[in-house]
Amino acid sequence: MSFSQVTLQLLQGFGTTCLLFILTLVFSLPLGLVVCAGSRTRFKPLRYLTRAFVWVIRGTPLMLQLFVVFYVPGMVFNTPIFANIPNGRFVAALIAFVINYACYFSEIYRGGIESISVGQYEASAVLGFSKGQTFFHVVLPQVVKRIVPPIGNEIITLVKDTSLARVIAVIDIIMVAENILSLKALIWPLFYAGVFFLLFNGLVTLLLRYAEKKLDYYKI
Amino acid sequence: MSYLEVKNLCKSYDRNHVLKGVDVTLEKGQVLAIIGASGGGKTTLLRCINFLTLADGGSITVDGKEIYNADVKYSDKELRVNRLQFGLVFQSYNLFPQYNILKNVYLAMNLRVRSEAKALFAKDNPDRPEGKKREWIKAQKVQNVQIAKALLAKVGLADKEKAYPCELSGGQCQRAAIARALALSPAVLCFDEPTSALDPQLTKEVLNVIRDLKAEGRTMVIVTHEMAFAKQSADKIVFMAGGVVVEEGDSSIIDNPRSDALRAFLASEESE
Repeated sequence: MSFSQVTLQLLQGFGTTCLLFILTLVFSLPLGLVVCAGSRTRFKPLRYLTRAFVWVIRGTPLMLQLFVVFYVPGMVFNTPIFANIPNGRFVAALIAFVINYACYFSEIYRGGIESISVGQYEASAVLGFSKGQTFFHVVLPQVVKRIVPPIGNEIITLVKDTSLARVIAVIDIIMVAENILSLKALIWPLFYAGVFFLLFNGLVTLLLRYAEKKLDYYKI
Repeated sequence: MSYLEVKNLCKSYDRNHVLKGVDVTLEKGQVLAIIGASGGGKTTLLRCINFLTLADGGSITVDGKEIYNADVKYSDKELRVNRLQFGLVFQSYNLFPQYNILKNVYLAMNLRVRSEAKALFAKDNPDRPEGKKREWIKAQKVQNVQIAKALLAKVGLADKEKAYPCELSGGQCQRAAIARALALSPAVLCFDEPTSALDPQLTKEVLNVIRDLKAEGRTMVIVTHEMAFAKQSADKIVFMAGGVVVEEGDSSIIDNPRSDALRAFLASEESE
């Protein structure tokens, strides 16, 4: 196999990797806010339930969660749901990633929200802001600035975590490279796949740095 | 009946009685200075007046309208409307760091525009204005920016509109905070130790702004440690200790304190 053939095949797998990465972010970033609201609500049963859920998700391996999402619905309904729909394996992986990352993000949001000083809430209160106005106009913009570095950490981890999806046979770039290894007995495409991750994370790092710089116009 | 009447205000945290029945009255256009040692209940009184903490007992009346009574259960919305009778300037400014000071001032006005428009353009409102609601909101927002600019000019920050709080000195921040508190034109403007975080030079510029407001006839309540300022600018001085008003009167009480407590407090302030 020539270099260009390998590159082409790896690129196909990398497309899946990128799609999984982007869709996970698109869904888990907002969902994390919902989970965060749940773990901060004054309604105790919901708060404890949410915190227990976050504990389970953060306390078990993502790989195991991929298996659970993929196999358990099939066991419950006695028919392999995800294997029967088109791109079912990809959808199962996406669901597992979104839930997992939403829980991590929720804790980052919670830390960010709780770091905002009482004075900001009091200033909003005496100006007659509603709770929603206080959150969206005063608290959230400051939270965004505070959480860019920790969220960036998670995003970079996500880029690499996507390769776990191959445990339920989502054909990502690592799986493509493994296939080349077993079929053609070539090891170097596996290492070459690492370069894709490295370059992609380089790009992500630059974007994060840009975001941080954009938010640098004020200090909290 | 006085313009502002605070009657028998009580507040306790568990067994710690911070306010033990405080009565304060103030006439329109007058300035009230609240003095006293830390822990005497000054700040708690101010926080109760602004609903940042709700008093356990007593009532607050502004211009003949009872806006708080501890025996009545208020909804969040009622409290939110009623508290707008008061403005509050904090010791630590509490400006919104992500907005320039112009936006800090007009934000509260702009956030009210939508609900105002909703009430104004309601189908059953006989004074429903002509034209579209969206246009009205737009015009209102433009007007709010003009009001905010005028307020910043009033506190001497016309050239700093676009600056962020982190780029300003403490005195400038506090003046911006005063402009922000004025934006909703509260009936009574309260100050919680507005100069305690400032050095003497910056203290002066903030106190000058407060003097200008007094000249305009603003009704103000100021918790302060600036005895000279209280003596000079306040129409009425209240000395608090142990959760009660120990002594009150005009500025002469600073020169001729009747109670031992006030005498001791003034002596300790002077020795600092």
